[in-house]
Amino acid sequence: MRSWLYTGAALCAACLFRPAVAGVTNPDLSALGQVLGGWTNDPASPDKEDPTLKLGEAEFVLDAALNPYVKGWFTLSGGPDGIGIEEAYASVFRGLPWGLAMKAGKYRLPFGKINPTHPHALPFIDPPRSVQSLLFGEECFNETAVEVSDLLPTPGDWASTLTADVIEGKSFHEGQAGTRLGGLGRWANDFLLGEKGALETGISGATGVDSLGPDTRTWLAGADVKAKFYLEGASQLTLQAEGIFKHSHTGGQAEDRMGIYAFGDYRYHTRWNGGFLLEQWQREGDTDRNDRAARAFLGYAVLEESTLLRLAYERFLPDGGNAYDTVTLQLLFSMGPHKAHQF
Amino acid sequence: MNKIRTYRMVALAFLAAAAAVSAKVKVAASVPDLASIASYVGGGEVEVFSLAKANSNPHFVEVLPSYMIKVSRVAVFLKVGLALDQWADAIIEGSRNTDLIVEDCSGGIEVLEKPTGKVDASLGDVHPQGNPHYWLDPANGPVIASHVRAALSKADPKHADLYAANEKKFDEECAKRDQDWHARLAGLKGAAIITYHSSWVYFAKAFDLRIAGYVEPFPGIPPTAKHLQELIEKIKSEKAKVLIQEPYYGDSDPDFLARQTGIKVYRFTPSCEGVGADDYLKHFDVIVAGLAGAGG
Repeated sequence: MRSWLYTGAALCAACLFRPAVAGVTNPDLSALGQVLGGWTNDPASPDKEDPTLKLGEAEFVLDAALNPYVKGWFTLSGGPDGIGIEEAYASVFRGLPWGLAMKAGKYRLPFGKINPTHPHALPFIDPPRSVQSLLFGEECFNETAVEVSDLLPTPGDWASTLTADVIEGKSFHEGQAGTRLGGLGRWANDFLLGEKGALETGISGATGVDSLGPDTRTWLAGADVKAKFYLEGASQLTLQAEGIFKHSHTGGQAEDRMGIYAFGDYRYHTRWNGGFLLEQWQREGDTDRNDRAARAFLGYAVLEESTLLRLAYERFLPDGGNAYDTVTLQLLFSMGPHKAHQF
Repeated sequence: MNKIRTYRMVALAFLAAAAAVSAKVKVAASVPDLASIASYVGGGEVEVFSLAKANSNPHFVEVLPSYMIKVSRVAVFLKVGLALDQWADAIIEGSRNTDLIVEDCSGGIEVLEKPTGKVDASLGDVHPQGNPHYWLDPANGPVIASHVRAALSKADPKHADLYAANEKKFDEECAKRDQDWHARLAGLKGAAIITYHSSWVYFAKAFDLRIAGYVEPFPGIPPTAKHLQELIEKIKSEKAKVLIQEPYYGDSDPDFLARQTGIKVYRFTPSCEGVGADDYLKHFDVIVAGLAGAGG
């Protein structure tokens, strides 16, 4: 492991400490804001059956090429509680041997399909509950890490990408003083389905220790598949599913649990999208209980991609409890090159 | 024994053929038009493909890993430039192809609609460097061909003479057919036309057509009812008889204008259908054949 780190550091140094010839770098600046309206009959909500209106999390993005080999990226996110660094990383995309790419900093880790995607780029408002339950809550699996990735030699249009990350490991033992490094790997395969679609499959794995005391280790494994079909006009259909398995320790007891979601999103002539999402996952601390949720979502780009209106209805069915409904309306607006959603 | 010898010879022939195929210069292009011109100039020495398709909006191409792997294997990438194919940068970057020759084919083009004041999103999807749909003027074909020749000669210097000869042939063919296209569209000279998006300004300039209005109120912004009403008045006052629409935009607004004013809707892709050597020129044949009847 140590020799691997030394090799990585040497590769970084080779690229980063070249003579400073890149000149001035003016970053692209983008900002995204959101207004959220909601209603729920969740018995645990302080706003039960009262409509709500609030300013959601805002995002500020700065990105630029640092030189012909390296790009830098900052994402600051903020709300009523203050501003924090969501992501800050440099990626070496050119010049490394064997076609390798490297990334170092804090970023959304490449575990599965949902985790690395910013919520505003999803076709619905919130990430699936199953993913939040298994991948460290609303803040997602986001850590300081060093990543190496490679495009494997493959025939035809098949793109096979292998990614390995050494991670800080803090997500596994949140709230404890000190850290123990963890690791993450992903193998993604992409295929073109003629001119009419694309298919992506991936498997991911990660590990870290639950506690700095007794050496208890968490293992995460995931598999995902996404198919996209390009239809007449500018319409397209996306089908995506992901399953996650987690072996961890809760209250000193080993626990194995799983979760899965699947959704279909139909995008009509770029400005409209709508679909359904179904999910099920085992509850943390009580794996005999399977919670389920179903949601319908609708999105409309008011003029083009910089202003989106999104509506979601969700029915949450906690195992052994009463089902409840939540309706959310979101206005998402963005300025700058990092748009709310790619048309 | 003889049989074994024959099999060996056949195998060797296959290997030689495979080597000959793999020796071709692989070329990727953002749009089919650049790819087609590369096929013409490169002749039998190149293998060409386009990332955008004729019937898809060239402003928006999804950045797929499969495109990156395709680009990782090419020697030359032909870009439209003028901020049309910004998506190509992410594909080129993801390809990790350090030897790639990236040729921006917009150099030397007389760019139209170059904004002079401050450009921001309140003007719609305006390209700060000017209108990028320059391949729709056949006079710009030779400019593109010169870029293609330069890039191919750099990637494969031993066939530089062939590329120069093919470029010359292309220029002559383009000029010859341009005369015919002009003759066939002579009846439309000076006529007012409407287009959906501002894809056709180079075409209109080339054939002396006057764009009286756009279905989009601003580039990339869908029409409002008020804008359509104003456009109806304009179509009537300007006596516009032709509305050109790209097929990836919805039909409903052009069809509404046709019902209200009698204007005829022509649906043409702004790019050629294929990447073969003659496809760029054939695309003008199709457009000219479609519009020729409108001049009467």
